[in-house]
Amino acid sequence: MPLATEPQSRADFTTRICLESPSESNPYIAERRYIAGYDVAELWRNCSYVDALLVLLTGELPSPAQRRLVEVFLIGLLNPGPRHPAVRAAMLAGVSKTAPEHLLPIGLLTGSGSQGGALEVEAAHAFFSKNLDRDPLELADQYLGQQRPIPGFGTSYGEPEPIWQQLATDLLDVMPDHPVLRWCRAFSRVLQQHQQGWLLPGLAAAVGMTLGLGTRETLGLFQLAIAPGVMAQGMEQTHQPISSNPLLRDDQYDCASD
Amino acid sequence: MTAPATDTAFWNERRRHIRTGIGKWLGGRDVLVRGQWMLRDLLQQLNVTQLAVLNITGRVIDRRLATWLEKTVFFTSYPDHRIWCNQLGALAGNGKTSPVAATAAGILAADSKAYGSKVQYLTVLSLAEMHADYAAGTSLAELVARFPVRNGVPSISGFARPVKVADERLEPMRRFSADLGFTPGHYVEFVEALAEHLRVHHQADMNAAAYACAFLMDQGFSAMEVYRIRTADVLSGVLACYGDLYDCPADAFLPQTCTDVQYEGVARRAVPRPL
Repeated sequence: MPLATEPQSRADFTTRICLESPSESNPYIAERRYIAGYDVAELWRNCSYVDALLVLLTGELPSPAQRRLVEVFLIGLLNPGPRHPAVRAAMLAGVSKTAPEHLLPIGLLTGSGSQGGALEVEAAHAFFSKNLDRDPLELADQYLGQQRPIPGFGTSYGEPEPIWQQLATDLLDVMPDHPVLRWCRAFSRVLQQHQQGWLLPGLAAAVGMTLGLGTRETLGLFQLAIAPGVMAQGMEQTHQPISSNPLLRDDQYDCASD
Repeated sequence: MTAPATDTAFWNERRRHIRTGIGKWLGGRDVLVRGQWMLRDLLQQLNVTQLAVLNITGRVIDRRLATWLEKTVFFTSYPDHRIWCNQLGALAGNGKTSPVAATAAGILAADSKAYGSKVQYLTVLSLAEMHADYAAGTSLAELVARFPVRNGVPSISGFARPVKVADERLEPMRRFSADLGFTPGHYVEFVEALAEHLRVHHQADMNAAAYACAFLMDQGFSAMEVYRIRTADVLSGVLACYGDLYDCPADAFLPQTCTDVQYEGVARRAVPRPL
């Protein structure tokens, strides 16, 4: 049963996520804050961060398997590595003495695109949503036969990157009977026979689908998941001299009209 | 048996090496920009808008077109706090962020399907498709019928404007386009015809985005070029609102009581134990 706040002609926003109950002495400050009906103080006293995160994203406390799935996912993406475009962008900004409060947004923006970034998560989620009722083996054969790109799958530098394949295996093992993950396992096995593998956006999309998240929420979960590595690696570079990442020399830079 | 090595020649060639036609700084001498010398030549020849379009598209546009682009920014950066990107500017100002952070947030906000730079990209794509079909014989009524009706008017990117609220920017835009010596091209003629159809049959009209996009299409710009040229159009309005709030005390911009945000979720409940 929805719990309405005080009646008024027009709200600034409406939300199904958060209720703030005002202080009796001042309507601008909150006495208590509730997320999906749970007092946030009760959450911090009794729950893990992942539990609270899933309340926020799904509106419900997770099952043990869901909790484990998200823990594995968040640790897996905690730091996608210093060569990942989002992390690399934050590091580049950090070493170039950019204001440190900008490093995380810079990294997330750089990693927001449709080629390996948040928008590819969106595309992969849409791909799964559209095709989950199809036979995964036939679908994989069809895409491979037509050489059509599959969002969330492919190669990095010519090969599937082993670490993401390992993460996929471990994620799929957490909830092996979940229909989304079962479909993903069958689909990815066909791709693996053709030297195609999981990409990071595909993993994020599979986890989001398994949790029942929408496309946009899954995109956001991916950004949240890579944020710690973006932040930490970027901040580390702020302590380095700018000369530690020198510009390429002129002989390493060819301009067509040079 | 070891796996055959992957051919990494593509990446090896690019590792620690850049090959480009965009430009190059030659320290102590000059800068190449698309094959032209920045300090020796372009500094004297171009204004800042011409330089921006050269950098973005590779084209040197004439001064009239540069002036046209500058004038249209007057229409995309109103210093009105209510506009979404400007609200972000005001909030950022009230939080004493850096002006760059405020501007970046505002520009990102305007990367929107509803307003700003992205809607212009989408409008060019939509106009190109409609114009091609129109040229092939599809009627205006048939074109309009393809779009869903929202709030009583056909939802066409660049045309979502009820006729009773005329876009104040259209007439000035038509006027200064003429004053600069531009005559309507195929795309402007098409959007004018479509707008007339919408006024007569649907109580709808075009807005300035449709006109401006059609104009730029007539000048040979692609959808992606328009997107890129228009990226930072909202900048000055965002900074105006940012500056307006910068010296205000905390929580001075549209303060909200707890109940100004209406909760529509599940009722309060206890966390079950053991979890």
